[in-house]
Amino acid sequence: MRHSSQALEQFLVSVERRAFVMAKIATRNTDDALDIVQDAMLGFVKRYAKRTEDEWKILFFTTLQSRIRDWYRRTRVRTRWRVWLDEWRSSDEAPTGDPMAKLADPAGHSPAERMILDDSRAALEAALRSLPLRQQQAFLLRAWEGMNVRETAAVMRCSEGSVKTHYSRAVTTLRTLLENQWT
Amino acid sequence: MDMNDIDREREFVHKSKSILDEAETTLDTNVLSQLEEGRHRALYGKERKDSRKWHRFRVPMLGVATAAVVVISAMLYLHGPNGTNHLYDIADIEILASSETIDFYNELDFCTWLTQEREHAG
Repeated sequence: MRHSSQALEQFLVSVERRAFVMAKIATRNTDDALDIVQDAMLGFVKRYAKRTEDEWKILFFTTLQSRIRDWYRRTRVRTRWRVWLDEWRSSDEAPTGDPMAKLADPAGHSPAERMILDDSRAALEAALRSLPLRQQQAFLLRAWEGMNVRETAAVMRCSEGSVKTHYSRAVTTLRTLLENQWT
Repeated sequence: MDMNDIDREREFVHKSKSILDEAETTLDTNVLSQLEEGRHRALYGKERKDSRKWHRFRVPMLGVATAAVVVISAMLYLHGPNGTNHLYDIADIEILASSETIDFYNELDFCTWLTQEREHAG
């Protein structure tokens, strides 16, 4: 089946931001997250663009999660002898944001609301990062992306039982870490 | 798990989802423009996919290349042949790399010798 490039572009527009946030949570690095999303988009267009539109979401997130896992494997080996460099890189990341974007709140929140939201977001991101990668993926795909167990298992390339276990453990840990802060 | 706990879990998941949704809508313009660029690259393949990565490594690679040239130069200077022999080496390399035939250089040598002989004689 052949799709117009417009349909394909609309689909990528609809998933790219979410894909970036997922990759950023996994990698903690803006450049790495952008590289992963770009690679996922390239891989998706190259391999699956001709598949039916119903399949696109699952196939795109499968490609994305596969890229994140690849990054994770590579980085885990590298960081064993380069921990100090990671610290330098994360501190180096601070000035790369757009200063204008920080001045205005696109959602129209007051400064106090903005601060609470930022705190909640930072706490959630930190808690998600503390999870093992598989639990992190299961939580983001099930809770945020709204995938069912079968779809999540397809994306994560594991059994439905594993998804249930990873998701349940993730929710338990996150609730322990965050519920008191959020109430 | 009782009903209260199920409700609390549902509420927790809902709140997490709202926070993540909010994170998605407040990405800075630099990230958004790079996502757009990546999307266009994926769809229309205007540039090499690794250009971002190579751009990031360009400065360290240049540094490594410069350092390598400096080290090799220093080694040649310290351990290579002394004095004017360097000039002969460079001249030899030029001759080997040139597209001219060896006869041309033989003739050139002969002309140089002839000029020097005339100067001595004069």
